[in-house]
Amino acid sequence: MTNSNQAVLELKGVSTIVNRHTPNQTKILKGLNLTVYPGDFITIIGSNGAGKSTLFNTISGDILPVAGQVLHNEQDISRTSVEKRTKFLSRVFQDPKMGTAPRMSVAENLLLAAKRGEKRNLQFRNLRGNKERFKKLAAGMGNGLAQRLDTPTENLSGGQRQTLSFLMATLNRPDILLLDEHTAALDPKTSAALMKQTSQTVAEQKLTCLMITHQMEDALKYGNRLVVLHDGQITLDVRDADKDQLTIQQIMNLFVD
Amino acid sequence: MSLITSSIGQGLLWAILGVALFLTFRILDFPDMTVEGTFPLGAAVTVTAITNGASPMLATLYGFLAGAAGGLITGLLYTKGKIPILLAGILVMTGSLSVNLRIMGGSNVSLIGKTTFFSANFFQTLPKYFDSIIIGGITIITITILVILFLETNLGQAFIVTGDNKKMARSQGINTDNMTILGLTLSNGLVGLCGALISQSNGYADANMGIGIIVVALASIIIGEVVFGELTLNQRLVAVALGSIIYRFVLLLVLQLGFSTNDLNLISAIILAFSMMLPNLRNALHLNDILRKGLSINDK
Repeated sequence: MTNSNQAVLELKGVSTIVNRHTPNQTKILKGLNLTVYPGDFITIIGSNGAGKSTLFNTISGDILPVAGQVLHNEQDISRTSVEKRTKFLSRVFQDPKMGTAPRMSVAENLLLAAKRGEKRNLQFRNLRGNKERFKKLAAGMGNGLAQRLDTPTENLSGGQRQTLSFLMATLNRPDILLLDEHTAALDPKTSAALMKQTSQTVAEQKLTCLMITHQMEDALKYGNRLVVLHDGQITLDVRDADKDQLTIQQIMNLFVD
Repeated sequence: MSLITSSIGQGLLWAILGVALFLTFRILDFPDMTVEGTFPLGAAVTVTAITNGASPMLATLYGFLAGAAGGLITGLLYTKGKIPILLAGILVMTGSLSVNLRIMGGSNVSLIGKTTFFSANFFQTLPKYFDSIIIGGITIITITILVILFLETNLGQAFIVTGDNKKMARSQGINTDNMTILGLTLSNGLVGLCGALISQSNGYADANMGIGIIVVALASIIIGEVVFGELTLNQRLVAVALGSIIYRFVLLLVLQLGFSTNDLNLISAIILAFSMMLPNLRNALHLNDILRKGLSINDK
């Protein structure tokens, strides 16, 4: 039973404000509560402005909450910096350009990701010694990435770049994986392939994963738990059997105010 | 002949500036105006130290450290003070002008009769300008090798990725603020070192010797890129040094045409502007197509 395990991530009454101390000050998250257990694969849906991205930015540390707590393995990380949180957290962004360094090669990007959250010292990076391992990993993604290890990532297709971002995020197993609409910028075929790969990797590595998506089908098809965010709060949180019985129509009805 | 040896000697000495600016302009991807202040700062500190009896080696080291301190301040203003990088650089540059006058106790200080790297007896036995070639050559080779080795380390890679994609660097746990500060400190340290050597080569330090320096540094970077084209990162560092020599050569040619040294800043600016426009001009005017067509036997 995963439920009896201790929470890997917990948000307690988290509130956030953007543009603080300006006339545009807006409250985004409004006392949000969420408990994530090891092995949870949560799909998150919600209309624009519901606070999905803010939720991720709060978990990653890009936005600090004005009220409430963020806990990782029961440790308060509310004030921990973005860099420190990368020790246990990784993230794939919607924009394929965001997750990779354009002028550096595929292998160089992977090597940087292999040291995620580690202190960067004056030891030589040993790119050559890691090539074989990276080649195998990239080959597992099956979209020609393995043949392009020495290519600068700016010369990759959007699909390859996003596959690389995903590979980088899971290379060094994170406690929490955040997927921020990571297939939204891709064409339907590439998107489906990456989604399939995602589901496979999450299952194989038994990752704890939160995924924002606008694709209702994906939200229902993947994961063991579904969360609907509305106006800075969670309005629906279903798991396992309850989630399986959910239909697109039922979710759509939630969006109609 | 002396035109060539002089270009090479001056080019090698000034190449340090090019490599230094490469770290910020090309790797961190922003123009650092601090160099216009840290270059004369390095010179002022070194010249003052030498006139006060310090050995050239120690005085040059002080020049490096003074430059590094200037870069550190710019880095702190930019990352912690949230001042835009261009303005942060201009602030430190402007401030250091006063500091330089204080250090030198006047607007210029001469090194006549003092012991410098260039006054060694050994150099007096060599033809003219060979002192610059040897000192500049040894220094730029050492610096280039050290920079290449540094960029190959985990820390060096973290530094590169900070300039390439800050958001991604942060999401890999890299403290991008620290990397930016490190880059600015190292870069301006090298700029101070360049000022230290140039002042010893010239035999004086002048409060105004930093004016237009950023254009000189950019020119060696851009000329290196335009002339040598697609290169790896390590090769590009070598190209900067060669670009610096080519730039000096062009400058000397222009002087031979009858322009005075007063015109140098304008000429430098024109050379840089032209070099930066060249890749676009090539495309716009279809120069490559024209060349290719001119060489092909069968017209389409």
